[in-house]
This record gives sequence, C-alpha cells and structure tokens, in this order.
Amino acid sequence: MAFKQTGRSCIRLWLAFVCLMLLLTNTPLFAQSRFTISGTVKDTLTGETLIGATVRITGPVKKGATTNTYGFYSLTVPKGQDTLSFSYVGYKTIIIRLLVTKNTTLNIDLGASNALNEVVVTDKAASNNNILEPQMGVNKLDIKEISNVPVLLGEKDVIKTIELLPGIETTGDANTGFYVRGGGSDENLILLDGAPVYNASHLFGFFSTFNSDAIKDITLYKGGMPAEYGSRMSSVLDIKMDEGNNKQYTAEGGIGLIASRLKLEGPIVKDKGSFMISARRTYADVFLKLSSDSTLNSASLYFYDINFKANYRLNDKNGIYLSGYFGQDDIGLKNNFSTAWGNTTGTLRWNHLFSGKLFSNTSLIYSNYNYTIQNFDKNSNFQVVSKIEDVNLKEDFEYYLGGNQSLRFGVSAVHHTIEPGDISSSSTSSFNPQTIENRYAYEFAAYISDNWKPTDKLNIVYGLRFNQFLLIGPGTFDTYDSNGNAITGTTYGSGQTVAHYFNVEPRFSASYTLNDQTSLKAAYNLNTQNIHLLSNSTSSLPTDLYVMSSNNIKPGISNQVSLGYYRNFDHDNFEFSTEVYYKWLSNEIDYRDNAQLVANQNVESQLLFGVGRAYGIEFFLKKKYGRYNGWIGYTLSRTERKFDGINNDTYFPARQDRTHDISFVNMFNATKRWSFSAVFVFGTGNAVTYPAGKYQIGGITTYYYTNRNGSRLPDNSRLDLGATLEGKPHKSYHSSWTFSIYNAYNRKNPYSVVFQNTDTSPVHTEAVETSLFGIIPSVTWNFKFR
Amino acid sequence: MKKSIAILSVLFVLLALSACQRVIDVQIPNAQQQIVIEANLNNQKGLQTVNITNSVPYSSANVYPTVSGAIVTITDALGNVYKLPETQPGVYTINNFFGKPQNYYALQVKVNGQTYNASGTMPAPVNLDSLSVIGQSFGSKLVKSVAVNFHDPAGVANQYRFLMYVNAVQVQRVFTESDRLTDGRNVTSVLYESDIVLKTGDVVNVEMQCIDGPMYNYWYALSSQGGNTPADSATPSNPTSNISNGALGYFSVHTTQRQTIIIP
Repeated sequence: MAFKQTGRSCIRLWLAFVCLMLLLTNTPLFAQSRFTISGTVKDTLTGETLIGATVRITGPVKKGATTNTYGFYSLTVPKGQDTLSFSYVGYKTIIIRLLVTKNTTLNIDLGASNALNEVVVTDKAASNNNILEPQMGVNKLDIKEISNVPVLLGEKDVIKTIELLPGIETTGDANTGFYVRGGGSDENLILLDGAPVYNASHLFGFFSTFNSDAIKDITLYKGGMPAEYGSRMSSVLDIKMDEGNNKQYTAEGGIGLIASRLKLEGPIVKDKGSFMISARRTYADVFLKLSSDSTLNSASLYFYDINFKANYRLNDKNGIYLSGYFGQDDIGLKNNFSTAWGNTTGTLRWNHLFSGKLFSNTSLIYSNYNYTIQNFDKNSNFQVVSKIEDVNLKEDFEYYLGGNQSLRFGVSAVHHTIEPGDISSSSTSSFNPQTIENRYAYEFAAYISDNWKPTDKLNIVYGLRFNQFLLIGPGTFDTYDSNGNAITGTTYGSGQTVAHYFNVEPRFSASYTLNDQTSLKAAYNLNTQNIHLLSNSTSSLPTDLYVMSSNNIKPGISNQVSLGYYRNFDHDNFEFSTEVYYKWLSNEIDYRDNAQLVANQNVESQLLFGVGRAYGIEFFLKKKYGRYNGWIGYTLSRTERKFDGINNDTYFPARQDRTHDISFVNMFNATKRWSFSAVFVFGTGNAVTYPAGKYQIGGITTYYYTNRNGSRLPDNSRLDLGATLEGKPHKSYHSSWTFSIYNAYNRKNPYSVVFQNTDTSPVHTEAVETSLFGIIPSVTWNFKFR
Repeated sequence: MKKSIAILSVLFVLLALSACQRVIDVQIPNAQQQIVIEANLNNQKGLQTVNITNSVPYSSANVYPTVSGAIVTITDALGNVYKLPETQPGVYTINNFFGKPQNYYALQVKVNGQTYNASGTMPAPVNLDSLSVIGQSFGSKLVKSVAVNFHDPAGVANQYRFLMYVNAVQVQRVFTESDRLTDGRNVTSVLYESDIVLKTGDVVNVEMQCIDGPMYNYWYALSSQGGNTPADSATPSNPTSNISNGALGYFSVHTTQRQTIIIP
C-alpha cells in the first residue's frame, strides 16, 4: 500500500510543520533598544475596523505599514521621538507625535471626510500604496464605488462590478460567473469571511449571492496570490462582511423592482461588540400570486439570502467574530416540479494578540452547497439531493519581525464531503431509487511567507504553500483507461487512503520603486486545485456536480508569471498600471462526447484531461478623486486548451478566449444631490463551434463539425446608465433614489446561436441568435435610519 | 430527468424578460464533402434499406447528392452474404428480409475505391405496451404530449429510440433513452417537443426501436447537438459513427414496433 505509506509520512511532515510554528510563536524576539507600536485603526462613527489603512512614520526613521484584515498594524522603531500619520482613502488623516520608550499600543479612530469627491489629498503617502506594495494582479474595490455602478434591475452586485476590471470577463450577458485570466469559472476561490462559496449565483447567475449591503471589503487576486490562499487555480476573490456599528443602532434598506433588502446593525456592548444582519428577497412570485391562473399563482420563483455577523472584543488582546450566510433559490410549479438550491456558510474566528508583534487568528469554517430537484408526476417522479460540504480548521499568524520583515504563516485542515446524488422515487415511477457513493477527503495545508524590504526601493513577498490532499474511503473506486472503460475496481474501508497528492506551491511577488510615482513589479505563482466542477452547460445551473482529485483525476496546476509597470499621475489622482501575464494550466477537465454527467456513479469515466495556456496584457487607468472619477480597462488576451482526441490534438481557443475586452466606468457628482454614472463594455464574441457542413440522418438535418471553437459569436457591447438622487439631509434619516437603464442603446448581445432549416424552397440553413436583455430601466428607493 | 432540465431552461428563457431572436449572418468555412451511410436492419420482414449520400457545405441548399454505384452487402453470423442492389439512385435495398434478435450482422459498402465496414447485434425486443397523452397546464394553456409506456427488462442494459409522426409528418427531434436510471421499471417517457402543438384529433404514430449501446450513444449525441441552450452540451461535436473509414452515419440493427393514438 504505497499510497497509505506516503500518506502517513505526509501527515507526519505536516505535524512537524505545526510544531515548528508553535515553537516559533513562543520564542522571545525582542531587542530592547527597539520598541513596537501596534494597535487597531477604526472608523470614528461606526467603530468598524479599517482594512488597508496606512500608518507612516516620518522622522529620523521613515517607515510604513498598512492595517491587516482586522485593522491591526504593527511597527517596530528605535527608541525616540516619532511622528505617526494614520490615513485612509475618504478619511481625514491624523498625525500623532509620540515619544517611544516602551512597547506601545496605539488605537486610532479616523473620521470620514464628508464625501469621496471632497477629499483633498494632503498626504501623498496615503494613496501611492499601489506603487509601493509588492503585490500585483490585485484589485480592491471600494463598496462606495459599487453603489454607483449601474447594473441589471438596480441590484448592485459586487461580482458584476469586478467583471468591469481588466483580466476578468463575465461568462455571459448579465451573468455573475466569471473567468480570470483565461481560467475556468470554477477556478476562482470565492471566500466570504474565509468560507468558500461554491455556487455564488442566484437565479441562473443573473444575481450573485453577495448582498452588497452586507459587505465591507472586496479584494481580487489575479496573480501572485499570497501564500495564505490556496485550493483554486486562477484567482482569489476575498470578500469580508460588514461588522456592524458598535456606537449606535441603524437600519437601512431598499425597495427595488425585483427585490427588497433590509439591514440592521448596532452595538452589542457599546465600543466592545457589534452585530449586523442583512437580508433580501425577490418578489417575482408575489406578483404571480395575484394571477387568477391556478398554475401561475401556485408557482414559486424567488431567492432570498441572509448575512449575519457579530463581533466582541474581550479585551485588547482578544476578539471573537461569528458570521454566517444562508441563501436559497426556489423555482417550481405546483404538482409538477420543484427545484431548490443554496449555500450555507459559517465562520467562527478568534483574534489573539500574543504581543504587539504577533497576531493570530483561529478560525472554524463551515460551507455547504446543496440542491434538491423534485418531480411530482405519478409516472416519472423522483427526488435528487446533492451537496458539497467543507469543515475547515485554520490557524493563521502574522509576525511583525521589526526591521524590514514581516512573516505570515499558518496551517489549515479541511474535511470535504461530496454527496453526488441521492435519487429517491415512488414505486410507480419510471426511475429507480439510487444512491451514488459519497466521497470524502482531507486537505491539509501549511504556508509561510515573508515580506522583506531589503532596500528602500525593493519590496519582496516570497513564500511557500504546502498542500496535501487525501481522498479517503469508504467506497468503491474504479480506475479507467484512456477510453473511459473501467480496468480495476477497488473497495476501500472507512478512512483508508485511496489517492493522495502533495504539492509545493511557490509564491513570489516583488516591486521595485523607481520613484514615488513609478514602480516595476514581477510575480510568479503556482496554484493547485483538488475540487473540480463538472458542468457541460454554458449557464449557471443549480445542478452543479463536484468531483475531487482521485485515482483518475489529478490536481489541476497553474503556473503564472506576470510583469507590471505602475505609474501614478497628478499627485496620485490618476493611477495607471499595465501587466502582462502568461499562464500554463495542466489537468484541465473536459468531457467525452456524449458525456452523461447526471446521476452517474462512473462520472469520472466521462472525463478528458488536457492542458491550457493563457496570455495577455492588461491596461488600467483610474481617476480616484474629484467630482468625476472612474476607470478604463482594456485587455488583449488569448486563452487556449489542448486535449487528446479533440481538434486533432492541437490547441484550440477556449470558450472564454476573448481577444479584446474593454470596460469604461464613469461616475460624476453633478450637484450635492445628483450623481450620474455610465458604464460601457465591449468584448470579442466567445469562441464557439459552428457547423461546417450538413447531412441528413433519419430525415433530420444534421450538422457536421470540424474545428472545435473555430467560430465566434458576434461581438458584444453595452452601455448602462445610472443616476442617484440623494434626499435632503436629515438628522436621523436619509433616503435616496437610484435610477438605472441597463443596455441603454438596446443592443442585441448574443446569448446563443442555433441552426435551423429555413422556410424557403429549396430549404437552406439559417443561424438564429437569441439575445436575453434589451433595454431595461429600473428604480430603487434606499433608506437609512439612525 | 432530462425533461425537468428542459422545463428549467424554458423558464430560464422566460425569465430573460425581453429574450429576442433574430437571424444573423455567420461566416463559416465550408467543409469538404463527406460520405454519409444510413443503414437500417430491423426484425420486421420487408424492405431493408441503405441510403448513401454526400454531405453538403453549410451554405448550400439542403439537397444531398446521392452516391451511386456502390456494392452493398449484409453478412450474418453464419457467413451468409446478402447483396443490396441499387433500386433508386443512392438507395440500396433488399426485400422480404429481416434480422433476428440477438444475432450479429455486418455491413460492407464499397464505393469509389473505398471500403466501409460496420456491425451490430440486434437487441432482444421490448414490448411497447401503450401510448398515452399527458396534459400539462402552463398558465391557461393545456400542453399535450404523447408518452410511451413500456416495461424495461431488469438486469440487462436496454436502449431505445423513438420516432414520432404527427399526421404522418415526422417530428424533427431525436428521442432516445437508456435504462441507466430506469432498469426494470415500468417506464413512462414523454416525447416532448416544444416546437409542435398537439391538437384534438391529431393522429400520432410512434415507432419504438430497441437499439444497441453504440447506437444509443450515437442518437444521444445527436439529440444533444441542438445548440447552445442551457440544457444542451456546451460544445457540439460529431456523434461517433459505428462505420469505419471516416464515413458519417450509422448501421443500426434494431427491433421495431409501432403504435398509433388519436389526441383526445
């Protein structure tokens, strides 16, 4: 049992790593002539911590730091007089003079300046982080920006907004599925407070699972991912929920055309803890109920979601966070069929400060995606239940070594369960009850990364991530040959290792600052993936089927190198960046012709494995401040795949191969009460397979295909317009109206193209394009009480 | 189960409030001509036919040139060779002939210096018990569909293909089923086609064929070739033919049975 042996030794290695880390955390590393200033930066008004606020020391020693996800910072300085400045975009900068004679805790509250457009940037250092930070391929979105971007039916949406950034494309018109730098739509790690969200879409992908009321911070990594993130090949979308106001109670919400939402927040104990609860629900079915038609008024068609978060600071050194998400979609016709699907996530987290230099985070994370499909017909009834579930225990450390280095390291253990499908049926049904074996796996990871500034100009982050994946029994596991025929079938007992994979993932990114306004950056990352989504449809259907790396499926591996040039203009009012990337993908999954993915015990026999490559150049120009702000992004790229037996074993364009992709986002604050926005997008049509010839089979016109994805859907473009009218200022009450027009020039963007016979004589073939959304106006009323 | 997904996708398109369709121009390089062999052998004594045609480029009219001058033979398991002479251009037939269930048959076509071979074993027949009409109300509209009812034999792999004719006009859709999820059950399978509306008095004739595994894969691939709707497979491809030497088409050795129902 070679598998078992190596499996055990890998666990041992992993345990050794844990011990090493625990040892490290207990080692005293203080030099007495140097002291640590540390603390938390918060918003004066709400008491919420500020992520990514800048702390700078100006004095004999020049030094900087940014606050982490929990608003925590740490700086080590020599004994003496120092001037510290705390700044954050949209907030007034605070400057503090301090005589440092001992380790000092300094918690700072920053006050928001009146509005984004009125910020006068006095402190340059506050806004050229994009130049100085080594991280590249990263986009952070301000939640305020999202609220100004017009979207379909007025439902502001974080995912649709990130799709407006270079290197990121949508899977379809108005869809929340996305591709990052040529990766598949299942290659994005979407985290909500650290919990993976497996199916981030509502209603076939027209809306995302993220209610932007409940969100505080969004960061997307396209390349050079920090070592603390793993398990997906192409990107990380890290979403942090709002923590809630710990000073006062507020209520806010909105009433839109398709959904309403309400959010409550307030202190649990003033200045110590707060809670936030946010919910929304669509009401298409409420209108259906008004119908006199018995089928329609008993139909269900809705989704809802609830976000919840609470936090409590036990003392200066300890804080606890509890957050969760629950969402569900429900579509059905009474006595006919019903479909329900949704995600549940939960995160329990304990922040602990060992010292001003060592910050730790212990997290217990749960994630579940499940669906149920039911057919009620007497002769064809069935119920299919399927789920994927993760339980994750994670320990993360941030260790501010002082000097020019800070370390991040940690360990993580995940237990995965996949229930591919459990079919039940009545005795009169055509379908047999059937249970497809559950699959279980452990995924262990350990990582360490160091941020090192060897000189004033050079800033490097380098690290390693170790990933150990163990597919375990019980169950029968078949091995298939290259034609998909089973060669061997082995039965394993509970907990026995079926397959294991160990991967070392190097991560590296560096910036070289030419001057305060200009830097060059480079990054390399290797990412692996052990949970794979199988779907042979083009839209986001609830029937997502997940498989694990196994005796047949090897982990997906992506290697990416990227280079970037960053330049700010006009006192950092304008940010410009360009990045080139090249990405190699291996163990990409495709399906055999005629693949049967639904309720198939031998689904792994239906798969083909190949390689991919993606390369491109991205340009991004952003105006950050002023009455007019916005950005323009352009991507020129190519994405290709290669599979044995497809396209004569040569590279062919992936569906998401998009030569040109342009996004132009404009926001204009016209008056104190009126603001306007306009978004224009253009993209090359998706690569598709069109017939090259035709023949007749059984009296039916049948098409003959030659090159895989050799043709193109027509190019797509769209202009969306938005306007917001703020209500008159009021002491305890604020309201606003948001108007938007989706697809303002009513462009017919291709959703699908099908081929059919013409009505002419003689009969020819015509291509019929279906487009989904024409011009759609909408209005939303928003309110806030405090 | 496929039907539920089909309903889902219909809803999906309804959801897209202003879904609209139009004919577009597409630029497609024309493929080279391919030979298409469509050969059927069933268990009913009568005319057995092999049609040989050529494919045409995408932009041409749907008129398929016939291929004449082929030598077509069927060989049974005992080595008896039966010739199918050309009775019309491109149509090769043998009369008063039938295949026996569980017997093996081989087809050979020699034309233009090329030889094409195929073979298949005729499955055991499964009785088509009845046809029924199923009504499903969508709003105030009652949508009628015809369903086939049969008992699937337990413990063996069975595959079926159905051809539906409404008032003697063939419905332009491939209906095929396997017993992967229905082994040994009383099966009711709805022959659902969104393009046709069945009215009271319509005469619906259904042919049920019991086909072998490779033919099921062939028809299944054709049935999911339709296009880019969410229920279809993302990338259309050519179905795997059981004929050698790169010919398009198939050699199907199947049992056949027909029933008729008048829509009430």
